[in-house]
Amino acid sequence: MAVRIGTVRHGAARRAVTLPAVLRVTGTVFLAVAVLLAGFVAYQLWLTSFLAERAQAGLGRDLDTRIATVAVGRAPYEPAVLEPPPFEAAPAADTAVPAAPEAAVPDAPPIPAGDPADVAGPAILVTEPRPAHGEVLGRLVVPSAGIDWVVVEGVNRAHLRSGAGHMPDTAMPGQPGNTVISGHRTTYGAPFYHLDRVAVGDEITFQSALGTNTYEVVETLIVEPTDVWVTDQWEGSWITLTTCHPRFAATERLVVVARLVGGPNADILGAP
Amino acid sequence: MIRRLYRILPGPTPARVVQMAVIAGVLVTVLLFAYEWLGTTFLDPGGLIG
Repeated sequence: MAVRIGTVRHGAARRAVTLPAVLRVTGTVFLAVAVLLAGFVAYQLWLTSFLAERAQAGLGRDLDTRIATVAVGRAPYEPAVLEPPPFEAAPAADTAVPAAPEAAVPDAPPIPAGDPADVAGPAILVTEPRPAHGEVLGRLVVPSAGIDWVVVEGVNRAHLRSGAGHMPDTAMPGQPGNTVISGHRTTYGAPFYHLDRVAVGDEITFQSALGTNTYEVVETLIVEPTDVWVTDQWEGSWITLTTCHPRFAATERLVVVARLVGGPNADILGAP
Repeated sequence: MIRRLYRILPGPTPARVVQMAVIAGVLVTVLLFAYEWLGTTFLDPGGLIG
C-alpha cells in the first residue's frame, strides 16, 4: 500500500505524492547523473586518447615530411643579455655567449655553408624555421618516462588535443634560451603521465629539422600554475617540460628542466 | 520522457524521427562541449603555465 506523503496541484486536479513516486523520481535522477558521469569519464580517458593517437599518426608523417623538406639555415650568434639560470652557475663566457632566441632568425641573411670554425667572426648557429601554429615541430623522447611523442607548435586547447605543444614565445629547440613544452598528464593520450619518474641526470632528446638535440635533466619541480618564471629565457640552451600535478587535478604543475648537452649547436650553447 | 517528447513532436512519423535525431545530435554536441570544457578546466589543462 502506497504511503501518501503529500499532494501536488497538477492542472485542476490534486494528485497524491506517494513515497514510491518520490523514490522513482529520485532513482531516475541518480541514474541520469551516473550515466552523465560515466560519459564524462569515458570521454576524458578513452575518446580523447583515441583522438590524440589518431592525430599522432598523422603528425608522425608530417614530421617526416618536415625533416625531409625544411632547409636548415645558419645565423650569426649575436650576444644578448638573458637571465642566468636559477639552477646552476651560468656557463663560462668562453663556452657560451648569451643570446636572445630571436638571434636565430630563420630568414637571416645566409652565410656560406661549411665548418663554423672556418668562418671568421661570430659563432654560427644552425637554425630551422619556426612552424606555423598547429603544425608539427619535432619528436620529444624521454626514455625514463616512456615519452615518445610528436610535438606541435602552440599550446592552446586545439593544439594540445594532439597531446603536447611548444609554447610559441619560447626558444626553438637547440637555440639560445628556454624551450617550453606543455603536455597533458591524464587525457589526450596522457603523454606526460609518467613525467614524475624523470630524475636529475636523465636524458631527453628532441628531434626536429635542425637535427637531434640531447638534454640532461638538471631539476624537477612542483610549482603553482602562475609561476611563469619557469618559462623565462636563460643563458645557454634549455628545455622545460610542464604538465599538471597531481594526476587528475589542475592545482599544481610538474616541471622538468634540462640543459643542452649534445646537438648541432651544443659546442656553442651546451653546458660547459 | 523520450516517448513523451516523441508524441508532442509535429508531423508524420518520418518527420518526427528526423526531429528526434536532430535533437539527439544537438544534445550530444552540447554534452561533448561541456565534457571538454570541464576536462580542460578542472581535470587536465595540459600543464599550461601562467
